[in-house]
Amino acid sequence: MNRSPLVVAATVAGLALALGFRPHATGPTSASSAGLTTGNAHVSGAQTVVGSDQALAGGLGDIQVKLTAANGKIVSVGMAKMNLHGPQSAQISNNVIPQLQQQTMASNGGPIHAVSGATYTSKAYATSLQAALDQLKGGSNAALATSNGNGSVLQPPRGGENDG
Amino acid sequence: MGTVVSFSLREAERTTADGAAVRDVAAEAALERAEAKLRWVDEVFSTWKPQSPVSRLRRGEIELDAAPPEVAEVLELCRTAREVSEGWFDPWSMPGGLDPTGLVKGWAAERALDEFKIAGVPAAMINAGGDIAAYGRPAAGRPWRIGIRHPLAEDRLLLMVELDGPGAVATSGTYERGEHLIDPHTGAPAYGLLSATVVGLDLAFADALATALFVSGGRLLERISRLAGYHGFTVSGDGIVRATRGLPVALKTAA
Repeated sequence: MNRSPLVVAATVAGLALALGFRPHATGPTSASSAGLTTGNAHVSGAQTVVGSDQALAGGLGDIQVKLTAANGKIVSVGMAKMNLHGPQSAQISNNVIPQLQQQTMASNGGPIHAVSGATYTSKAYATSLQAALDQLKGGSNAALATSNGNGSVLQPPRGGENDG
Repeated sequence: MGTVVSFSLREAERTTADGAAVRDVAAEAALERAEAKLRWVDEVFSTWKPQSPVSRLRRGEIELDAAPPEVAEVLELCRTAREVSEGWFDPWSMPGGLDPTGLVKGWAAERALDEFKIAGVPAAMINAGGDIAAYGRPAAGRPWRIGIRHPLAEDRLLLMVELDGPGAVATSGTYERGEHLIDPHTGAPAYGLLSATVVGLDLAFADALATALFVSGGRLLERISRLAGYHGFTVSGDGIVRATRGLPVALKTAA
């Protein structure tokens, strides 16, 4: 939380929902459900909520999404934290990528609006964002119950779940 | 589990005479329509729902003209994508029969985004399971900044691309769902790359081309470099990144 904030200075409202789009065939799907915590919520005038996906925390690090709202309106969304560890990271970093990374702000934390590529990571992103949103939407307590880090799967903000 | 879709909207800034902010009800209504549209597309195009028109088409139970007209529209786009991708994207060569899924998700996201354009929302972005389409700017003078996931480290970004105005980013890889991308020439799972990303004007095509680029093992990159309005890059198993010239990588500027 003390890191420099990755702020998107915009009037941005976010919302996530779950749909039943599928990949082509029957590959093993990632079965783990995201157990989300939003234990780091800070409420003080402007409200900042950090959602973290525990399912990601074991192997390769964790990803957190930070969402700031003022008067119930979201004013910034950003990655609060990206841990960099894991042997594969080093393996792939030996090559061209560091040069590209030098050109990007990915490593030093520029504002980020979305993550492409990863059904899983962007899912973690979206559900974390959603957890934070739910928390904001519910004022405080109501939505906390759905995202309290005990392994419960988050529900879409409205409407039904996909075909499961 | 399905795909999670998230939206980011920049609402029109309206205030009352005494300066109080006014809710953008048009944006809220558009959001509901966008969500409804996505659910409708899922009902029609899902290859997992046995009673969807596309599933019935696959089984030969109905003809194309008995399906909603959008199915024919999507299949036409699929034909174009097949041509442009030199056959590396081919919904007609999938095991199990016709499968336009590789283009449908991006197409659906674009149709959802249309709702915001129609409603006069100044800028919006949709992230459909890691495939992103956007228009406008998140704030005056700022582009949308899209992090591309590191194919081997889910908590890490490989690089960042920028969309200044309308654009799309799609990434294909097998790191997430297992070997689910099929080489249409062999019918077997595609190997060789860790991930393939296409940045372009339209997410339906970017989505299809990212799939094609991936299963081509990167051979399609040269073709994509000659497509107006499209860029791409691949990450191979040995960590080599190959990119088309002009990929809109976010340059390091004043933070």
